[in-house]
Amino acid sequence: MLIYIARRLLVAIPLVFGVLTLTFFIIRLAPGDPAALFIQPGISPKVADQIREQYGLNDPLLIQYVKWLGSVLQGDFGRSFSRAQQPVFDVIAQALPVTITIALLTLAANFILGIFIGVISAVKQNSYLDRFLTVGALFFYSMPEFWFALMMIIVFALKLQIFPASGLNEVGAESYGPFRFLLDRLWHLVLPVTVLSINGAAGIARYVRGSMLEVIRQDYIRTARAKGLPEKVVITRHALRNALLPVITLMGGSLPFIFSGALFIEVIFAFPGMGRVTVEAIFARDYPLIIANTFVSGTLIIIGNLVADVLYAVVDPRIKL
Amino acid sequence: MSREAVRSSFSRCRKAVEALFPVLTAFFIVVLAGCSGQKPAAGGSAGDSTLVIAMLGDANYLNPVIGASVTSRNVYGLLYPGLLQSEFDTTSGLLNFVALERKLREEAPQSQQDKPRGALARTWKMSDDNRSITYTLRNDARWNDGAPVTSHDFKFTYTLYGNPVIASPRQQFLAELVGADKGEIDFDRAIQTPDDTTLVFNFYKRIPESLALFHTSLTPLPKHKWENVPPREFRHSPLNQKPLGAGPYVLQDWLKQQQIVLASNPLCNLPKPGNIPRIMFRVVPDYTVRLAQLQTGAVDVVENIRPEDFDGLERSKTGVEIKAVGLRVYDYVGWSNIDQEAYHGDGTIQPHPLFGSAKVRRALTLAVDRQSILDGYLGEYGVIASTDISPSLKWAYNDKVIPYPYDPAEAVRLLEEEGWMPGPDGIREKNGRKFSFVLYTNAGNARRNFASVIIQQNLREIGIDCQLDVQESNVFFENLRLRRIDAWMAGWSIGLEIDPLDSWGSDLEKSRFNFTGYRNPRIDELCELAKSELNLQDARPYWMEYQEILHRDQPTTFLYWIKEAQGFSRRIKGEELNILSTFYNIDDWTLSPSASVAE
Repeated sequence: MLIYIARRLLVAIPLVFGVLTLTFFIIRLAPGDPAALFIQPGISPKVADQIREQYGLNDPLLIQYVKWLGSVLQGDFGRSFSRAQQPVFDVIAQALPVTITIALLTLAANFILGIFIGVISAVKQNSYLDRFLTVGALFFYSMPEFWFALMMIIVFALKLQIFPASGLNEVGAESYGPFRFLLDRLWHLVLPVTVLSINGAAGIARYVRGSMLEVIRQDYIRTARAKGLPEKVVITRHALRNALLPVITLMGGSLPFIFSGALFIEVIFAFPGMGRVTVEAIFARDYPLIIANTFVSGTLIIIGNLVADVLYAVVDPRIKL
Repeated sequence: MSREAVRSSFSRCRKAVEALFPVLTAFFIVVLAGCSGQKPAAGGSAGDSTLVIAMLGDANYLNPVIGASVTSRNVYGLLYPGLLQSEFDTTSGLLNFVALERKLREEAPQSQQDKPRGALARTWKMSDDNRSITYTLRNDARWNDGAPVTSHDFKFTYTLYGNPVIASPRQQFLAELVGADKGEIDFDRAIQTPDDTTLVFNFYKRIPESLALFHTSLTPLPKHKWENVPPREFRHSPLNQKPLGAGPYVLQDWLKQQQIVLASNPLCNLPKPGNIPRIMFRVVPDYTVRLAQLQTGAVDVVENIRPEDFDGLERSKTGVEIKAVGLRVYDYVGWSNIDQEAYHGDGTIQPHPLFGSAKVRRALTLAVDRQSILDGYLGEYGVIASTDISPSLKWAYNDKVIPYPYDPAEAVRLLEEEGWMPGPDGIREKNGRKFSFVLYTNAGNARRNFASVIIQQNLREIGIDCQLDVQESNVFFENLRLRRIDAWMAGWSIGLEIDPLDSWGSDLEKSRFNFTGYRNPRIDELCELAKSELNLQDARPYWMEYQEILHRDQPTTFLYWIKEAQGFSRRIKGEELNILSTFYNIDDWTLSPSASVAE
């Protein structure tokens, strides 16, 4: 298995590299100009050109590529155009923890909620509760997340004023003690994590329900019941554990979705995470930052997929890696 | 699957999960702790001592030489001192410059009369030949580290503004200094500092006093801090994170992409420490969220409120006031006056087959029902525009030029005079060419979306086929700049000094913003004549004629001026809005205690 993982990681290197090269050319060929901000009345026409010179954009494309390649191979992804020339990895180092927090909380909420709903609808198959949950899950599954987010803000932040609408912390939170600060941070994460996870949880619930229904009909469940075990034990200890096997593999696969979901959640809730960095970098045509973001999210997605594949082998001995 | 296999696979799975779980948990804690690892600052509850201003995006640099965004300007304006203060006289629409002991326009009635003045200049003298200006600086001004502010700081900073490696967006302010006409400013001759409190600027030509004052009053940096920073490293120098200024506020904390916190500067004598102890600029990118926060009292100021939200805001419990300033922004429909294909092909300039004739363009303006766009969207926050000179600039505005009424019958008459007759499908034709085009606009502007649909409808009614297309802003402006689109809807935010040659000049290579390709030698002449007047008001007759010509030629259909509306929490007192800026006198604002503010 270790050899398998090592091989996969080795294959990933040219893959990431190819993605970066493609991104490099696509963004430069796309219309728009990183110096566009400086082309306006009242600003000397020389400025845009001086700025492009600073960014090294006056060289021919191939020369730019070779220079870029040289510095990337040395681990230098350059400085951001739009963010005061901060080194791009500084920008990402500030943004990544925010996104990872959201992603992990979402992942946890996804599975806890999804499994809970899935088990209930499987156990009470075809009851009104099951139908209600199924319809509800479908309803949330098909709802556009950005719209759902705005609705949640209107209801919970504006009308009921229970949760805050934006930011990572309250105004003046710097003076809070560490515990209150953490609580405040979690309070700010409730709405975005709910929005992000409800959609995923709905999907997982469907999986769990299906897998649970299959397991429940197995002989060993009947045996367990025949032994006189209480229904609760049968469901949680004998059925659920086996039903979860295929679900666990979803974990790796859902990572890219959670990441792309974080993109707009961060814009709507004003979190300074990777999603917002990416969106703003694209609008500002901040080439180095776009490439570095592609690098980070590409790597994470590849790792996510690898984790999914490894988990398959871990939970199901019939799969040999 | 046998029971054994299930059990073994299950136990492996459980092991994996068990092994993973502490790792995950630990990760959580580390990540959360990592996020919250900000130093706890001193200070009590934020509410009544902190003003919170929502902003769209973060400031890029808090450095006057390179700060480019409006947010940057709003923030560094509070950190740094200014050579002069500027005022806007609403009765004449003229800019006024104020030093400690002198004003450019003494007659202007001012509300600020008795307040302490913050200018670094005590007074100035313009030479008789209008080729040099000499400032006398006050001698009690100090940077926050105690070093005096001297004339050398100004000269040093001007060399930074003019350095092509630094690429300051304010280079244009140096365009009249000695040597600028030859391509390189001769700083030794252009800016002289005989002693610490005397500062002389020399120009290569005669310029009006108001222009001299405007262009010489760029914000200085402390020379002793910055002189050892090589120009190549200027933009990423760590000094940018800890700006040393002398203004009414100091930077307390800057969390990138989240917030900028300023604290009142107790040392400030330019003119005095800011009234409100703390000002926080908070990044809230989404408009709906900004609005919600203004309603709940989480923020106190939100700029550019859309008219459809006024009612909701004014009814909100916390109390929000909507205030509007002068007219600086207008929307227009641009018509390419020239045939772009021919222009890009062999460089010849021919009239555009559809919009080449002034009569057709007048017909298009007559056909657009601008009043119903206003009624439907901007309401009282819009005024129909006749040209690009704002009614707020009263000294130059020609009120005899009346905007064309909505008159589709007259529009039809003009079109038919020009030979555009209805075709079999109802769309007008001339020489086999249908009057059909695509109207482009940029994405994400609700107002323009609304207007463009009405325009499409209006034109359809007189037999013109107008398709709508929305482009991403960056792409749209690039297409405009390269003169690739025939018809579009966009807007301009005007400067307070009138200099329209960039947008209407006949030399299409030089006039970068003449997207329409409009050419009229008399307009060039009038702009030059107006520029050569040493007294701004003497240029009034030229601007009168300028407006008449633009009105007649309709190079674009001027739609409406927009009063930008800002939402203020009622707990703010003493704000004086001004066409110069929403935050014009922010250091004089006060906060009245309020129970509704979150702790």
